[in-house]
Amino acid sequence: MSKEGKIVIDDERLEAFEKEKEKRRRAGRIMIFWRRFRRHRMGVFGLFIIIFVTFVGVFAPFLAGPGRLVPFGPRESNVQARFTPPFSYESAKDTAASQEASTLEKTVAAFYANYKLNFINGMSTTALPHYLQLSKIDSIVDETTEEELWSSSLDPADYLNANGSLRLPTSFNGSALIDYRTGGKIAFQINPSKNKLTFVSIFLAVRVDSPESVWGGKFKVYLYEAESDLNSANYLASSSVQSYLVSTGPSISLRLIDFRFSVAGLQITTGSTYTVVLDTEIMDIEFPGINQYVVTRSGPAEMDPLRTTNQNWNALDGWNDQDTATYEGWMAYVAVFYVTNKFHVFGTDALGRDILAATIWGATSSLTVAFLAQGITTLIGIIVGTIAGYYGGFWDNVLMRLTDIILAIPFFFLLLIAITLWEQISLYFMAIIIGVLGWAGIARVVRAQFLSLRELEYTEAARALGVSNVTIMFKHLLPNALAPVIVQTTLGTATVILIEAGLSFLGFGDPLAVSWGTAIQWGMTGNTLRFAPWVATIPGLAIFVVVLGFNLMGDALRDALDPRLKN
Amino acid sequence: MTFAEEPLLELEHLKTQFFTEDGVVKAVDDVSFKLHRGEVLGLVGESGCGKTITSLSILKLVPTPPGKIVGGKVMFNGEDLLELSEERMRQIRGNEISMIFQDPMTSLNPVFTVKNQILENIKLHQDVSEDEALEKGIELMQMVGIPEARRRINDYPHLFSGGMRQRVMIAMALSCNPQMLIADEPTTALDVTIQAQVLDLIKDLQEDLNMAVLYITHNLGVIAEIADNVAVMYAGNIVEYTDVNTIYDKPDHPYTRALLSSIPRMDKKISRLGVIRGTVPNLITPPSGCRFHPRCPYATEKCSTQVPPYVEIEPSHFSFCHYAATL
Ligand SMILES: Nc1ncnc2c1ncn2[C@@H]1O[C@H](COP(=O)(O)OP(=O)(O)OP(=O)(O)O)[C@@H](O)[C@H]1O
Ligand SMILES: [Mg+2]
Repeated sequence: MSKEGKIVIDDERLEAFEKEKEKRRRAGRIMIFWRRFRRHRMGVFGLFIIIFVTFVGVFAPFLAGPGRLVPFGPRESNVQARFTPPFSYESAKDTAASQEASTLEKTVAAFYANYKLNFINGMSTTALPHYLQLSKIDSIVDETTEEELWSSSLDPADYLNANGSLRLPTSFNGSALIDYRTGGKIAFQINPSKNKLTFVSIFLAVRVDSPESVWGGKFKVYLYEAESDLNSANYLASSSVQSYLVSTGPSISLRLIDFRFSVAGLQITTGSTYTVVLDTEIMDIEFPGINQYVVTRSGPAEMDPLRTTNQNWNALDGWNDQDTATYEGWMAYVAVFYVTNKFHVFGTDALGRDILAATIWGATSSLTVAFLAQGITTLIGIIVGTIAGYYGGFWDNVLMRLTDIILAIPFFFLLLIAITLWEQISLYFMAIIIGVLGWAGIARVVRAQFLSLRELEYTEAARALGVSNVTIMFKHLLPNALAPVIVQTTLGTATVILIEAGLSFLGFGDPLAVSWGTAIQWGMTGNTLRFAPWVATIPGLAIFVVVLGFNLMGDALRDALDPRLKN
Repeated sequence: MTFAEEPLLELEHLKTQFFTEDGVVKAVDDVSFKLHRGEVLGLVGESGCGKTITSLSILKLVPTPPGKIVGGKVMFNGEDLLELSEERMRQIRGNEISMIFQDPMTSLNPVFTVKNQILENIKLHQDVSEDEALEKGIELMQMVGIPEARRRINDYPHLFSGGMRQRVMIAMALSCNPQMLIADEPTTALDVTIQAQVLDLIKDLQEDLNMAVLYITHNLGVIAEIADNVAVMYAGNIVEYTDVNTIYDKPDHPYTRALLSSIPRMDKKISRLGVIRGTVPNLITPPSGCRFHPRCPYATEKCSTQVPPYVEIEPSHFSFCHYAATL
């Protein structure tokens, strides 16, 4: 009984085994390939990375900047959303409540100290990128007096808490989270190059992101002689502004507050150092996770590379009536800097742009360019290589010399030139240029394949059966030539990602898109790298991981597709 | 064997040359022969004598450049194929004249299933639906003796043995009932027992379908099995043309004789196999006069200076020799 039973099982097993064998025997090339590919752990890992990043790139509108993005709307309308943290403020609120405030406070304090030091040495060179220029500045806050600001029909006691913070109506959801934080002083030094110092101008850019926010602040600027006690009243000049602003929803609300004070008539000596102190007393409604700190930049207006920007600002703020060309001044761009916290998982850059959001959007940009460019490259390469290799002779000569020429072109510089010639660069344009210049390698690989394929008997056989040349080339032979093309394309994609990042880093990218290269650039401006290394590191890591993924996969493909290896 | 007067294929003074850097390779030089419906013509000759190029010239498949058909006519069904457009030629290839090749290991495309490849040819030349084409494909596979054709048609070529692949190639070549089949050493790459099977298959199919077959080989033994007539080729020329019995019994041309003495035979007892002295001439600067004269034991002064005439020794027995029928 048991013996019989055993035999039955063996039969079944045998049958199953036979079935499996048959399945393997009949497995198509794709199955065989997949089986070989699967054996390369690192290759599968690379594939996983690529799939993951592609997923992130494709779904970036949903992952970053919730509810703020218009996926198919005008590209400009997406710009702001691209810098918004990917988590809704509502979800961050709970965790970021008061218990977090104290740790935040400490971090901020340490940060602040570092900052201050950096201001004194050399100044941050943070510049507003051109996509945050005038059009993105909703309004320039009026220079209102303190009385004007706070005088409303209400008694201050109705809207101020005992500690001075603004109390919101109870209907407001976030009222429980209101947190008051005092401002602080920042000092930085200026070196007048001429003695005709006529004014010191400071721009304050504040980022507000809160579901609903009313934000008010009081800013004072003092000009001291270098050796003075910066807390004393012995300043040479001062100016102050109070302003408030309203923003709705989490967004970058960049408000520029311009205040300047005249130093006409003061004895300013060329070459000697003065200190400007910016005193912020932020009378705001503060939401957890928002920490205003200040980055400044100074320099003579005439030499400022952002001159145009300044002039735009000036135009709005009544600077038109003065002849800016004759002025010499110092400007400080004051921005908000965020430390890493629950709301901004990877922190923000000097202008408060969320690094996680930028990294997510960077995947979109990077992969758009990489896939499009590599697609073009592969297509042209295949067509050129196929024709050259299959027909040989005259066409081979013409096409291969063309390939040599393409290879001899200093690719990157031509790219830079081409991109400079077009003023407004889009990702697609960049991809097309990279693609159109990059096909030489693939063409050579395909040609080499065809040189041997065309000698094979099945080519002859197909011709003897009356199949047309085009059909033979692209239908019969191309699939046989694809293995090295796939490998080359995979590795090439990694290269395109690096090129795209490089171009963006150098500022030749699409100004309306966030690229990893751009984000690294954010992290490189001024002293950011020193005190906020994550800004450059996170997108840098993203590049590293994706390029690694493509390379691992390319290597695994090379092995899996190698015809010399049997199953 | 007698055939209808009008030949199916008639080569007239066909000349094919390769224009290479080293010079002009006169691979096929003034080749003429006839092939009738239902006839099997064996084309024999040493390696490099131009057999393949002759057959490729018929189909206008000579690799161009460097190759070029520089003269002659290829009359097929009363039409000169050399005058036809490439488009018309494509309709003829695989449809009216089919060709099978030497190496079955590489004559099937490894990335497509057999079904894919057979059906493609059927659909290329015939206006049939997918299902009809499939049925026809299976039928062809059965015809060429592939067991379990319905199942195996879905396999990739690497799952077939050499002999099976050659059968598949034959099935593909016959898929449109061609009037003529060119078989270029179809059994050379196969082992002996399989060779015999494939040979029988070709012979059977030829008889069933009443096809004309141009059978290329350097194996005279195979010729004995299959051919009705034989054309012996040497350095781009046809040196002897006759029926298969005569070639074994009364070979005329010295080259044919030398060739025959170099193969072992069952019916005659010889102590040593003959060796043709010298080497195959270079076709860029072929020997003057008779191309075989440097290697010919009977060569005279005349042989090296004058191109020999085609002598019809007996009806339908031609010899390309100054001393035809006299040696
Ligand atoms: N592409 C080519 N370029 C130059 N010469 C060629 C080319 N193809 C063939 N030839 C020459 O043409 C001659 C005839 O070649 P062919 O292939 O017809 O020989 P064959 O009789 O078929 O030989 P085998 O028995 O080896 O197949 C050879 O001498 C060869 O050198
Ligand atoms: Mg040959």
